Amino acid sequence: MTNLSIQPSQLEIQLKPGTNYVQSYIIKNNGDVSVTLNTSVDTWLPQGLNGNIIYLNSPPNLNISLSNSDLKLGQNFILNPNQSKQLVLKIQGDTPGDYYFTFFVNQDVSSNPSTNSTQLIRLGSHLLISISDSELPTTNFKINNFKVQNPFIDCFFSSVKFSGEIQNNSNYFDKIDNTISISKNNTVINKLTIFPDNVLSHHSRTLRCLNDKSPAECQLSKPLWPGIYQASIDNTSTSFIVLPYSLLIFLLLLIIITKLLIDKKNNIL
Amino acid sequence: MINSVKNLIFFVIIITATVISIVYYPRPIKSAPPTSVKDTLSSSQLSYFARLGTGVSASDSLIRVALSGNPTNDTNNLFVGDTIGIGTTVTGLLTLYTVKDIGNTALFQINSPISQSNTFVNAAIISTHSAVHTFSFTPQSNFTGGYWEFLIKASNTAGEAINDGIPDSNGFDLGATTPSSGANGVGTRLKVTDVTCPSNWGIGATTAYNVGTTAVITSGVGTTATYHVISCYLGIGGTNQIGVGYTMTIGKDLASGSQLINPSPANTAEGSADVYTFYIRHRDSSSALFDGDTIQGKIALVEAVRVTATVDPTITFTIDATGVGTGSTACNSPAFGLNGANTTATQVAFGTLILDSANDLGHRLSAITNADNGYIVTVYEDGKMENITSGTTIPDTTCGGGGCTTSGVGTSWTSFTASGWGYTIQNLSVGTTIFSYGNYRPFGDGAANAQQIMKNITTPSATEQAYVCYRLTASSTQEAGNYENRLIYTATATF
Repeated sequence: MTNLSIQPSQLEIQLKPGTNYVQSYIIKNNGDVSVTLNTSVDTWLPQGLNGNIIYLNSPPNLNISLSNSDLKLGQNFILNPNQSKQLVLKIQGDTPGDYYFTFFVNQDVSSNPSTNSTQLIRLGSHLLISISDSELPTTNFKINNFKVQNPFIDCFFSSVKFSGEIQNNSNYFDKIDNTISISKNNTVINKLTIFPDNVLSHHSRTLRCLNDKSPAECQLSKPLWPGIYQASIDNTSTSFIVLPYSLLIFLLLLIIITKLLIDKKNNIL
Repeated sequence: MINSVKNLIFFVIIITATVISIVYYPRPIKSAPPTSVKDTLSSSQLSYFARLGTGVSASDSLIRVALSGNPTNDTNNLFVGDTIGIGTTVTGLLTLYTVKDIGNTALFQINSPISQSNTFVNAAIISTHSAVHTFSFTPQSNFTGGYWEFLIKASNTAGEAINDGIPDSNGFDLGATTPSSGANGVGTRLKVTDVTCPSNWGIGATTAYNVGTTAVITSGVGTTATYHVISCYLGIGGTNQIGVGYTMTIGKDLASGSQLINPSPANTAEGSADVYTFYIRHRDSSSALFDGDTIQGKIALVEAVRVTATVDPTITFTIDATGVGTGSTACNSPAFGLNGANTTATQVAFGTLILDSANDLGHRLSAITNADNGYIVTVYEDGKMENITSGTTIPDTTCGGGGCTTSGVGTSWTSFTASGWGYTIQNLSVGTTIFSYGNYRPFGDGAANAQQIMKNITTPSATEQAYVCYRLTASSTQEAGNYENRLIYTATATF
């Protein structure tokens, strides 16, 4: 069994230009055999709207090194079963902007001359770094495609599902800190907290809501009173109508059946 | 004889009446200190009084504290959410901020950028902690229309005002009259209405008779100390009982009143309590003090202990050979052959391949993280399955002409006459797998073509597992030799 862990698995850092940042990582071999490991860093860009990434196979434009006295980036080291090792990563950058990369711990094995496939683990810890003269760099979020997913909303049987994207037009990543306000007759009746996803610089993220500390689809639970509602995030809003469709259909069916029975009775007479 | 009997009866009555009057109506003891005396503080946390260190500029929100020479020389008694006041260039004027985070023992973050007027070295940084004092005592004496006084230590250190709302290093501060006299809240001046005298004694109001005066008491060794005096009046004709316990409070909830401000540290050794003396004294209706009724007590204050715990997200990934040995039908594959026994965590040894047939083996993958956004596991091959001597390759599968691709949902693979190398996944307990087993696809070549195979967009509640099943086919014309390839499984948290 090869079982490796890395801690922390993600870091979000804001640095002033020219400053050094030192971060320690704990790598642990939880497996029952010794493993040979080495380290590397690789830049990436976000891909799509859901936190996927694509690696660029290039190191970031930052000064990154290991501060361990006995180890350099790329140099092999051995972890015995149940052994941990602290790796100290030193980061220094001068140019303002955002930098996204992953600190990898790569498993290495010597080749084995037979027809086989060798499986290696690569554990990565993402680093989101903003280098700015300002401690709180200004970010600019824009809401796109904010809408209600289901067009016909029944009072009794339909939840209202919202979808949308949050676009970060600034040069620095930030976390979403916002809510969806649901109002009826100009009175706010409910608020949905948007999940605080990271939205990277000049990228977008699918809207998700916070549900018991976990991300979940943004939805307003049934039942709802009939009427016209408005959902808004900042200055972006969308309207939807809630009607008792199920009740109307039931009444319609009742009328039709009654009429059919009456007609049938008349025909018999 | 009759007179003698009368005299005896008279004598007995007199004696009995005297005994009864002594027993049931004892003469008040004019001079005895109360018993069961204590002052209980609703908070024994010392106030914070540090000064601005060097290196803080206007608009910074990271505040550095001076590390020596002040009552407080670090951030250890500061807490997230504390309201702090930072001195301005105008004497006595403070700008209020909220502590947003504690960086280290010398650094903390405030909720908004610091104003230019606060950014000078040695500007006072204060955070007041105040308390309701609850005195309980059992008088052993009484005076009709008398007074009970409660003395709490005030500072007599030069440069410290006892009623300016700034924590003093040598006593309790009475609070300031800002924003206005009579105001309630943090740092405001204690008023007579903030004191609740015992309701079960005396006559009239239970608010304090007097707040705001001080008394100087000389201790036995000749040193003097200043005390705030808060007095309760028994009222005209009122008196307290002897031997009955009473309780009075000094200070009210800050939403509706004021409290005495706890001292800042006098003892530079953190964790060592600062001990202060208090007194309860007794005066008669003419305000004459009876020293014999004075009792002394002690209260101790100490820095609060900040307990912080950070749970760093961790990700753990495992590859093992559990459930994929000889005979396994993981991924709904034909039973794995004898070579299944040779599968290790790092290697799948197909051995001698059966030509024009599916050669299936597998691994079990496990992932767990406590990161908020879950995890992703991807896989890619680091080059083709290649003959280690000639460089001839076994191509990535097309699933027997089924047209599967590296990023697609996979297709079934039922024709084995062409050489090919691919895989499928069986979800055991994963939040999301990318494609269902029964369908195969080739590995992406190189890190840039890594494909997701396991994923959870939330924090999984338990280790999530999947089988990955490898399939290798060799046509009857495939060059003989030893072939090898590397698969890289990458596990990361989701950003």
